[in-house]
Amino acid sequence: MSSQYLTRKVIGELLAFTTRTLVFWYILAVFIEMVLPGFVSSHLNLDMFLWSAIIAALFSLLIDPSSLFPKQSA
Amino acid sequence: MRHLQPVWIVKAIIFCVPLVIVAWLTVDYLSIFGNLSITYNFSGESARVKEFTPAGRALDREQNLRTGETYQRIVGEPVYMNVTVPRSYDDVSVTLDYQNDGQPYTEFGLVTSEEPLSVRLQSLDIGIINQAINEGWSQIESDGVTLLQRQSEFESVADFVDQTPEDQGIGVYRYRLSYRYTDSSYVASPQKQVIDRVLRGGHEFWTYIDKETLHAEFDLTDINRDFNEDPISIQVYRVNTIIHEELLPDDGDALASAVATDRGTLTVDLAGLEAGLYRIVVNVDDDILISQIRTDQERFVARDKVFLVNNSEYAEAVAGLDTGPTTLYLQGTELMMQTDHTSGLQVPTIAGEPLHIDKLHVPYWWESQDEVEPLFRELITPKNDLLVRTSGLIAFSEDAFFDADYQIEQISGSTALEDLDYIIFKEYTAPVADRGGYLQTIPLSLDGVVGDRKELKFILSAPGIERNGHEIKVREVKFDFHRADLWTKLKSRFGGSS
Repeated sequence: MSSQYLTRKVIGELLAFTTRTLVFWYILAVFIEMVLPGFVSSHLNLDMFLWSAIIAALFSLLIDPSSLFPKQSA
Repeated sequence: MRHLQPVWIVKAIIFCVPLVIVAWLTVDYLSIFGNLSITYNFSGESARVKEFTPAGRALDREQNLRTGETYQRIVGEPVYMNVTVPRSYDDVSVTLDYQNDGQPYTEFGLVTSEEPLSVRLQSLDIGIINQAINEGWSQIESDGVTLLQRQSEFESVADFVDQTPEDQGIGVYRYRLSYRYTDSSYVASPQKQVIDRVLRGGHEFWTYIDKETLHAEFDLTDINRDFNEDPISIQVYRVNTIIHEELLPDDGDALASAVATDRGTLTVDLAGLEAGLYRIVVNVDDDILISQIRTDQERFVARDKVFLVNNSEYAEAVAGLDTGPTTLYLQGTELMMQTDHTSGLQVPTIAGEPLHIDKLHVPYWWESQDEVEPLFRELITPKNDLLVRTSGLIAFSEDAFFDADYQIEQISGSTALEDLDYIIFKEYTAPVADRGGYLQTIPLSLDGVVGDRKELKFILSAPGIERNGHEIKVREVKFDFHRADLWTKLKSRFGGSS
């Protein structure tokens, strides 16, 4: 395996992980905001989480499509 | 031992960054360190801060498409800003980032009670003081009191207060200087004066005595409409010093029972006082009515505020209440009136000019258009139940009026700098220039705010802004709330020691 291929795999994996993390925190933040209004939104824009996740997902797909949706082994 | 792969370290960092942010938000939300900071820049909706209302006085949120700057313009007054906080706090510092298009007098504060309306205002932007500072007037400060002099004549604030010049223009702001008033033509009258108008809440009275006993009797009633204790204190001031105080504890009813209690009479009787002006301050909350005042003084006036009660709304609380019209004699050039009950909707007249009060809880403003100000104007309130606020003296009879401010001008939006040689003020610092606008920080205590102090209503008051076509463009408001930190709270709750 070439080092270029490895680098793409690593960056793709990190971007995919960032996407999942941001989606997780976005859902959690929306839930917290419903229970405690203003907890997050008084300081941070909730949409920022979502847009960051979308951008990370797009880059992830661009660099290594298999990282975001890995093939399940039998 | 296996080495951690660098990829996993990066993943751990990526996951922990939001965790740190959530920890920071939790500390902020729970006020673990006793602080909460909220910033609102009018770029969109906020869960905690609502934009200025009502519509019409405050325009819709706007954005400068070239710079991206967002703001809200204020073109009428007063305007209100509602803020919701998760905890109750002891005080708040509000920093406003704004541009001022010529509005000479602006204050910002807090609504401490909606009914009856009670506000706590602090200075935001007092144009005439800024102008004097910018023109290089000499500035002396002592004990929070600042003296500005066009020509540097006095070396200290105390010297100025002791030898106030009588032939030069003096502007005062949030400072009492009128005690130097003397009247060589005054002769004490043997007749008693009875003020049989019922007044609600705290009031300040000014009286002038010369070779006579200072004697005033205050009949008091506790109407117990709010959940609180209602202690009564009457203080007598000479200059800025308390020379006498009368106290009465609460009647024992701290509930909102609406059962009125006659609290009897508090009497101020002081002989052998030097001639001059005295202030009698009745320190009470809005549960206390002053049912009648009897005084030996011929000259006896209220200062800045009168809350008239004589209305059927209070008929149960005060036996034999006279609900007839009231005539007041006012010195102020601006006037605010408000009622909180349907029976208080009416058309008062100020110097014959009608002012239609047809909505509840709404402050109605009147401003003099006269080029030459009369000594006083008649205000007739047909139904009473009115909170009347002005800047100046208010007499209940023509004979009782006296112009204690004859050499001194209370600074307002219409004060001209060329008429003044001195300005003495306190509780004001000129705003700091910033990005083509100004930054001003206003400290406000939340003590005494009715309710749980989680739903706060801030007020921006800019008298004359609509009539003069001025506007204030507010770009950002930052609230820094403070209270005891969580550890101190826990210690005080459970009585533990460290």
